[in-house]
Amino acid sequence: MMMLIVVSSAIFAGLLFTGTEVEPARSIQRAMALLVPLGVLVFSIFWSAQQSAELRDEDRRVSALEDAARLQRFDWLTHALTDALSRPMRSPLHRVRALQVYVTTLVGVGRFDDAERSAAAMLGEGVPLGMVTSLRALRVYAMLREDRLVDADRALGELRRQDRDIDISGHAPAMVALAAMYRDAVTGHCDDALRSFEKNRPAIAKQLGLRVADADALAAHSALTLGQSSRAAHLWRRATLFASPAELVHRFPPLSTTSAALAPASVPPELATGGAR
Amino acid sequence: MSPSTDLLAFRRTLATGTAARFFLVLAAMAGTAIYVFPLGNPTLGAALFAAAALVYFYLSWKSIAVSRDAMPAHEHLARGNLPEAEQLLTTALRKFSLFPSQRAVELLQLAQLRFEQSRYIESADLANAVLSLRSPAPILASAQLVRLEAVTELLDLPRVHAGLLALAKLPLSHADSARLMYCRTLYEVALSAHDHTLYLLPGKLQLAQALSGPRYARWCLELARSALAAGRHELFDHLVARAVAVGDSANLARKVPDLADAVDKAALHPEFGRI
Repeated sequence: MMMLIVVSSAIFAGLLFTGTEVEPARSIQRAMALLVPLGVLVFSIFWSAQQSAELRDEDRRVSALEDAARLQRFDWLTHALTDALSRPMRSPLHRVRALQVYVTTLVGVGRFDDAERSAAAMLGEGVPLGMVTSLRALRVYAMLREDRLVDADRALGELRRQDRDIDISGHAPAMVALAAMYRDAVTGHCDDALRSFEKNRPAIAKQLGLRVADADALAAHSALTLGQSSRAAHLWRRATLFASPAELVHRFPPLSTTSAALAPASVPPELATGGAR
Repeated sequence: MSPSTDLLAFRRTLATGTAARFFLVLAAMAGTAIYVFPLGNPTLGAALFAAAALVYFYLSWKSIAVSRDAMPAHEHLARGNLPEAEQLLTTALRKFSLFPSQRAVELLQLAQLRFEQSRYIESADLANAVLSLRSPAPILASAQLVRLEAVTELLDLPRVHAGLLALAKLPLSHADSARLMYCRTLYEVALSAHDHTLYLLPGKLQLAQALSGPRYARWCLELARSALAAGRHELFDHLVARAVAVGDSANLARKVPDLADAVDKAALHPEFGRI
């Protein structure tokens, strides 16, 4: 825009000095040389302000979608996403964020095959660094739910490699650890699942907050499979402080046997209603 | 209190960036004036304008590169790798930038980092610096939230009250609303308004799901304190168990010393030791 102003100034300045010798025409040219760049400047200011306002509105709409995904309002999201994604977006980043919500929603409503393909397509197109890990982890989870164990294992390897590539030291990301635990629990490598749990639980609690219940539940399942019933009972009680057994089984179907075998944590009466977990 | 070295470094880059912008605009305007109006040699005017534009583009590119180099700091912060995040952010803050005001994101991240390091006064100062910049509304809201969290930890109750009022007017995301509720709970507990703290508890617990692990644990302990004051012992035990399940029990006992015994009791399992 700045260049446009400068170029228009130069053109009209050129007209001013090379134009006609007739005095009224020279006056008009002189006025135009001042007014046109000024007009372009005023137009550019209004145009930029309008663009910024529209971008802010779009950001608010995408944030609302992300909030709904966190609250697991998938019924609402299926309609809202159809509306949001069927129209062009001003910012590519907003579109990518909306698409990430779309993948989460597909997982939430149990369309794992679609979720996996959508995540793979997004990763193929290129997404911001901060989204890569969660998208890859969602993809691994969707593959495991589809019983595509070999593909899931390969995708988990990619996830670990990517973690090394972006040079993040310290703990493996919590989502990677959780996905690996689920893979180990599904494939019957319960020792590995428990080892991974012991190693990564503090990081999972720190990074994923209450989703540590998922790790506790998978560890309880592994412990029960290995015959460590006392440990399994303790871990299951801790997991069900934050998520109901039905919710945990919905997320990880192999936990249905664990849910049937072990008692959940007791909930005080004032929290028993309203889904406070 | 003297400002932190981070803040001094940022003020220095802010001043040099502003001065550089001023001289570049001056050179471009002078070049245009010489070119457009018959004040001298048009070739000299064009050369001056072109030189200013070239320097501007070069410095813009360098400034963008500084911000790009600091981008992994966000990922480090999310994973709790504080030394790595600190190195990236403090390095970025000390480098020249043509648009220091556009680096509000890094300044905000540094404020969050100082908060995580329990350096609350510095965190509040850095958040104040972000608020003094012309930034988009979401960044300003985040800065207000970081400042509120810092003054809440410092138990500076008048500023907490002002911060709560200011943020109540802003549209916040679900995660930010949860952080606001965290601050409000600590404020209410500090004022012994235990009935307020325990009011609508199921809804609050749902909202708190968006909190990070350490914050959730601390929040549960503050609620537990209110439950104890209200004589609701079953609720107290449940909330302490939640806090210990999510947070580091040693750290919790240090932060909330009056409940250290309850935390230790909940964290010490008869069969598996400390959990």
